[in-house]
Amino acid sequence: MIRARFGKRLPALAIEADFRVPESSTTVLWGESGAGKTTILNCIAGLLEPDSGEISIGGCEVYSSERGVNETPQARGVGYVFQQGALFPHLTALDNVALALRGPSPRWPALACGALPALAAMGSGAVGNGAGRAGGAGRAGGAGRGLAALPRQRLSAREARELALPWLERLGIAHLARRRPAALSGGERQRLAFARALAVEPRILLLDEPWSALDRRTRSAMHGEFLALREEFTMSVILVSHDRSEAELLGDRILEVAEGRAVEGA
Amino acid sequence: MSPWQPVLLSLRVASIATLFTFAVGLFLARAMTRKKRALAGLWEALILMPMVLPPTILGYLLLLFFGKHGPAGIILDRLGSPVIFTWVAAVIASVVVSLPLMYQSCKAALRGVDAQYENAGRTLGLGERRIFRRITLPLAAPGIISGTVLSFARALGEFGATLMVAGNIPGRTQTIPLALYSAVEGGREAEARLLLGVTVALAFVLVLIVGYCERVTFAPAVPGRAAAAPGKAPRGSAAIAPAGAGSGAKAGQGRKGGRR
Repeated sequence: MIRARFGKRLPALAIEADFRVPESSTTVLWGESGAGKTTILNCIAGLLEPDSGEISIGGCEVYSSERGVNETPQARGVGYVFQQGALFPHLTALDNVALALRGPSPRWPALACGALPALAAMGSGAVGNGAGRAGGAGRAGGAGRGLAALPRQRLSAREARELALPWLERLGIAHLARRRPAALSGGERQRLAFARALAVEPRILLLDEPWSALDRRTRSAMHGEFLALREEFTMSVILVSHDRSEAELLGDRILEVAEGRAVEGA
Repeated sequence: MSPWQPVLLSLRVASIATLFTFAVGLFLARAMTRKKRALAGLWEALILMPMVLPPTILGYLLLLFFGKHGPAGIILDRLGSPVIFTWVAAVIASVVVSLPLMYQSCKAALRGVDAQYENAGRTLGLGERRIFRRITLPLAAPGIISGTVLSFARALGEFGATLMVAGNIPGRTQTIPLALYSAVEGGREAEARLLLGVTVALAFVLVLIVGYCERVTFAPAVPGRAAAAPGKAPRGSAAIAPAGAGSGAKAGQGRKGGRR
């Protein structure tokens, strides 16, 4: 569940966002290029700081201008698939995921914000404790097995690779583990971007036009894969798209973004 | 005295100076690129000043600072190790003149790294230090290495400031440029030509290295070619990747044809 209500003034655009993403649903931010969709996503992820308002993720406040809260992106527990993938070009596919798994543990201290009971009641599987992680691993069909037993900060490069491989398998790109991103096709790159974003077991998933650079056929194949993934990974998802048919196919709800405004019921 | 002595001394001075330049230049470049700082322009001007000041002026400034009556000189004198007219002074002069080059190269290299990679690291929960070490630094490496080589070359060729603070003492502070000057002045043709040859050869190698660094990109690799070099698979991944994956082992290094 995501609650976002904030404003952000950019040189060419004033962003105004006010919407909720219910637990386990996919909300599509749909609108033309330059409407401010990516900026909204970046504010939720903590990569940009809004000027005012509040953002909460899973019942935890991650940003509040009033209370002076502004959690780092690291502490927000978001999975982010960037438009161009943002895959680390100097690392192999496997190491792209493995590096992510070598981050600190627990990933999101924000969960200690006093909203834990509420979260538990919502049955979020991605709570940042051992049990939650085991749940996440279970949903991934064995991916990340043993994660709960191994505190992440102590993972060696080898251990991280061993835990990363099941994620590549899950996305069907294990045979490309030793290739660098430049040697992957567009579709393979986006699968890797999904594997990397999911491997850290985020509480929510933010997708910034992940398939916009792909040809029509690959894109529709990726849509099918996304819907299949959605059966397993039940976190809230915000998908940014400028493609109306994509929005209708993948979204539980569509929120139109126009000239910086993404306001529910407007 | 062996005509090779200035060469060895120059290599020693330039190497030690480059170690310092590398550490300080990279640190300053990171500090200045990481966030907007108050008085950034002023700091930057201070760092870059040695690039525009005549070396002899710089040498004189260093002399005032490290000399017998200078603030640093007094302290060093009390500690019993004055640096003026020693090879250490030559190192200091080299560091000061080459630091702007290193700083500029590092800054350009760090700025050249697309922010999306660092942002991706942040959303993956990686700390800022790890992001710098594992993402930014490797991606900026070609520029940083070429900056290091340029700084080394600059240190090797340092003349004016070195002459002012270290003097021209054969066997002690006489580096290649000073020795060459003395040899030409004294009509020692053979010695001058030897130094000339050595310097040109060194400079050529350094320029080759810089050119090589500029060609290194993470451009698409040709999978077929990499299969011929299974020994160069990325560290530690051999045990995990399936047998057929070797084709991409060297993927992304893309040195050949990497210039775009």
